[in-house]
Amino acid sequence: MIPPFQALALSILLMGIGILGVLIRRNLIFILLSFEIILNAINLALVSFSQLHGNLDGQVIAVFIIAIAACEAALGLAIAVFMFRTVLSIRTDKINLLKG
Amino acid sequence: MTTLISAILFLPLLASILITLLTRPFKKISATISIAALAASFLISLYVFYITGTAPAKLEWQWSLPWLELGGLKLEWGYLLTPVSLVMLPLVTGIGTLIFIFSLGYMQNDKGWSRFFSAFSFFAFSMLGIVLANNFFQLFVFWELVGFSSYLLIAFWFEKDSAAEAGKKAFLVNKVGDIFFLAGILLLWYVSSAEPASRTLNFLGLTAGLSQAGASSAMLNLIGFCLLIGVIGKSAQFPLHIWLPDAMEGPTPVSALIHSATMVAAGAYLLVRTYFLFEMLPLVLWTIGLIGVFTAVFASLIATTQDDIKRILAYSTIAQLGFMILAVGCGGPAQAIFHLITHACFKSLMFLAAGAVIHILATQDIWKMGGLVKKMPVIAFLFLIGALALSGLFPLSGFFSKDAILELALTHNKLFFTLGLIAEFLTAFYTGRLFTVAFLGNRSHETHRNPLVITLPVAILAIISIVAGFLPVQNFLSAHAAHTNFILSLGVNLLALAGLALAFLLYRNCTTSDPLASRLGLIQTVIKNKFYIDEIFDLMIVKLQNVWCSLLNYFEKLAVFGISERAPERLADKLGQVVRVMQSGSLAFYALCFIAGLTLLILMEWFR
Repeated sequence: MIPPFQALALSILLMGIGILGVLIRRNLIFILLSFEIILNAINLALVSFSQLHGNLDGQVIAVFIIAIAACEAALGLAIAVFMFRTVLSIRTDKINLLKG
Repeated sequence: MTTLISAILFLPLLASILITLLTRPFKKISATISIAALAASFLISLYVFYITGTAPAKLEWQWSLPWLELGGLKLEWGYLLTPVSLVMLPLVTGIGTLIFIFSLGYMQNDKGWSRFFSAFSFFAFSMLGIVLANNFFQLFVFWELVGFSSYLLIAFWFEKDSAAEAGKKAFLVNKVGDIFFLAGILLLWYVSSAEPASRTLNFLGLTAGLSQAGASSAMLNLIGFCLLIGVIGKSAQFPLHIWLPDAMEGPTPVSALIHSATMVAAGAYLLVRTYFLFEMLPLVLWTIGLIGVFTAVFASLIATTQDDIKRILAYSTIAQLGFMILAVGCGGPAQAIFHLITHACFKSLMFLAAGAVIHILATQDIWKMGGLVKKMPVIAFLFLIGALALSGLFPLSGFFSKDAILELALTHNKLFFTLGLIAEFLTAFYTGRLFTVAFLGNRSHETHRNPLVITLPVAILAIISIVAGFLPVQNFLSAHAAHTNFILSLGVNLLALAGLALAFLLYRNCTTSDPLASRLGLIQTVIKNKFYIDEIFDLMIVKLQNVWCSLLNYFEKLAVFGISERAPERLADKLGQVVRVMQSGSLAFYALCFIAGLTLLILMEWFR
């Protein structure tokens, strides 16, 4: 068994990487990717909590999150496709139509 | 009796309303209604004259209907018949009817035919209202209505800029007088009685009660001056005379009725109606006389240099009104009314005859006329009668009335008398000049005969001008008998003849321009430009006003606008700029805000 402390530490690290990625990256695909990393970090944390508590609650939530992540990824990619058709680029700094 | 008087007053109004609402496209019906109404008023006023025959000098018939009462202010609607108004009624309606008939011919092809008759009838209604009013308020209402009718009629051919401007000018200058008039009326109401409950604006009430009301002499003088300014405005005395020459832009029948016979005489009528007040104020009376005689000389002088036949007659009217006002100033309201009556006759005669000439020749410049005595002998002869009456030659009517005034001035104030004589000489001079240049001479023109509707009224007026002098008007109007000073009469006649002869000799052979123009040079230019009074007013009022308005405009933009509109505008702008930073349009920034907010929430939860 992996010691829970290490799993949680990894989870925090992954979360950090993911958040930084979302904030810093300009390529839309990479932002979506980073977002998936965040979700996976959350999954990891939930599973190690489940191990700590000795019941399956955390794992149940993790399964939910996997399903939701899949849907959200589909939606995100659909938006990315529409954005590309409009702006003809996948760089987020090209989307500034709402700049006031 | 009340119904008769109401009929006299309201028939023309009814005609005016009917024409405006119903018969505008039907020219013959409009004219018939209009003339019939005024003729009916004339016949009724003759009848009224007949039935009040006994002891006319003591006549004081009043009918009154209380109209509005607001805490002490009692307004009424009523009629007052005194000898003066009794005499004015047939004058206004009779001369009005003749001029209406004249208009049938003069306004023949005008497309504003119905509008003309409607406005003219409305004017008749307003003028009769002034004559019949029994209190100051009603008089003032009709005073304003007369000014309004005058505006409608002066600016009758409103497509012409000069006519529209003239109408505006007449109305505005009248308004200056009217404001002072109203102030005078209000002050008079205030001091009319010692107890507030019995204050009144009624003429008879004031005649009886004003002397006991205990008003201070200063206040009464002030009221007198205010009323005088109203008269100056309406009767075109100096310095508010500027509107009358411009008012000649209106059709000639309008000039004949309104601006020589009736409306401008309303000022003199007011002075006579309110003479009970002026009797008590010698200073105001002296001012009245001074303004009257000064205007007479002033306007006569200008009339000697004008080239437009109607302008000459307009200045002549101003001068004769000056005579009427002079008469009041010298304590002779009866003489003033006498002159008003004779002047109405011969001046409208001259205007109508001039109108006949203008109708045929289509010009108003006397230097383009000439030799008309050959082509239009009837009109020329009738005009001559009017001209001689104006100059005051025996036995025409003008002589009697003018002689009465000069006689009054002789005993009253030597300065006024001398100036009056000068004005009389100038009157004869410019009249002679007008007749010589316009009618005598050898020119030939293309003319056709005037229709009977034009010639007949002129002829009737000429007959009246001849006989009116013999009417015992003065005895009718006042208790004093009129005495005659034969030496003075002879002297005045000789003076008039001298003026006419001088004009005849000077202008006999001139056909194109005024010989005096070159001889007198600068003086002639100044007089011809009406002493630049119009330009002075323009400078004072228009230009100064423009400067003041630009100043106010700048101030308004700066302060008022700045505080009420620009400041909130700038505030909203600055606030917006602050908030605008949040709308950066960059996705990463939005994500940062998201995450930062979320973190903050978690921390808050953790530290609780």
